[in-house]
Amino acid sequence: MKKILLFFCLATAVLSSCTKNSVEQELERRVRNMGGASAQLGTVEYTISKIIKVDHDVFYKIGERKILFSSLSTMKAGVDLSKFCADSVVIDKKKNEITINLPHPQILSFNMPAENIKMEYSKTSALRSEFSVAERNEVLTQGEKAIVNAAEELGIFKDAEENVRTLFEAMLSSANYEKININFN
Amino acid sequence: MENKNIQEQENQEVQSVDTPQEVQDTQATQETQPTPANQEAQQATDPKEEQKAELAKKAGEAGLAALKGAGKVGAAAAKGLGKATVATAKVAGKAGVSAVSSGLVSAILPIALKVLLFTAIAGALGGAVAAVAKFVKEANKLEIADTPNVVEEIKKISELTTYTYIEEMVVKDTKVEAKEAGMLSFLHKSEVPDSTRSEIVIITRGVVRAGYDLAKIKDGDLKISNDTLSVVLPATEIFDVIINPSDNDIFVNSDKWSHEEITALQVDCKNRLLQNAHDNGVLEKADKHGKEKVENLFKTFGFNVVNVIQKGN
Repeated sequence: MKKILLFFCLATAVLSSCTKNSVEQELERRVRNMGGASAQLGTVEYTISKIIKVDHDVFYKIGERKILFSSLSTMKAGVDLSKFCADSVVIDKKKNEITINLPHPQILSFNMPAENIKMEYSKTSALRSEFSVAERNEVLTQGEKAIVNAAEELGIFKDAEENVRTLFEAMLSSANYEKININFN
Repeated sequence: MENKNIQEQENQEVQSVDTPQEVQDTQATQETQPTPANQEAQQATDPKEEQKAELAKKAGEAGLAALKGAGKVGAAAAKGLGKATVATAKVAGKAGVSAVSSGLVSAILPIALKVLLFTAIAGALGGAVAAVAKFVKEANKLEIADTPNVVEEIKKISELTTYTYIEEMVVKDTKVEAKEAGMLSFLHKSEVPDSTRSEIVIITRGVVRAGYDLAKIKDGDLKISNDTLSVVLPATEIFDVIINPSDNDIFVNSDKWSHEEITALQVDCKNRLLQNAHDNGVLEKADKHGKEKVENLFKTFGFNVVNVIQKGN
């Protein structure tokens, strides 16, 4: 029994040392495959510009520092059809009526590309340290979140809902349905 | 051992004291109440000698009895004394223990109090320092100003995303910079200029979204005949290559990296992500999954037969 265990341990050690590259490849493969099949219907895209600025004045430090970025990002909204199934559709062939129940629109993607972010202004007093790389990224992250959180106020969901309705009505009217009901719930 | 000696002494004292009394008592009894047997013995021999012998015999018996009694008394006394001694020892022991413990308590108490006091002060100081640190951290926290989100453009789209490719990437870069001349640089002249090596590592998570642009379906691409639908889907395409600021973890050993340098690295990272997505067959996968999704979608709309024709990539 001990010999078997020893052999197993040795074999594992030898194999693991021999296949280090393949382990890394496997890890890389797994990381790359975090995504997968999806079914998201994007119906509206907003292009949003935002000034992201910080005036960092702290009471216990002499002097101040300021930074200002301009950014241009895109936000897409629509419906996630991954859970859409036969139960989501009710067809009344006698009345030639179809009712479709869809999920509420949501943000499908937000993109603030680095090339669309420009540092327009930065000022640091003599007694203060400049904004570090991590701090600059933190400022931009806050800007990104501020835009995403304001999605509802911007009215993107309302537009997405309207466009989904228009798209489905166009498709279904060509299928000779006289009455088309689109519900979001 | 001491107990034993004490017991013996007691016995001796009892013997020396009690025995004459017993004898006297017996003599007195014999003198006051002569018995008929004695009178006969007196008549048979020399009455005086016999009387003396008899008296001596009785005195001996009385002495023996007295000795026995004295022994019992002595033993009892010794037993009592022993018990008393043990009890006394116990009490003394307890007293000693309590004395020692009280001594220890009196010795430890001030130290314990001091330790307690020190701990309380240290705790209070620590708490105060932590509170100040937290306050300073809060005060030092970066907070962006509330600025408006300006909608520049609203575009109607019909993008059916059928595959999402996600990858975590590590980007490393190094740059070597000449050191700035210090105030005392004139003191040493070096042929090789001083330089600093600055490294940056960015761990980022990128997303690539691919699928069909349904807006590209032309009128002739969709044919309906009774319960049969035929649709020609456009070629799959990549809609977005996304790396946002929140997707980045940046590690640097110096903050000499400008915003432009970081941007260049991120653009490079994005290009690599796109290339990896292509190499991983993101468009083919989007096509494969997309066909199935579109078929199912149209079938739920009441079409029994759905023919999906893909233009391919």
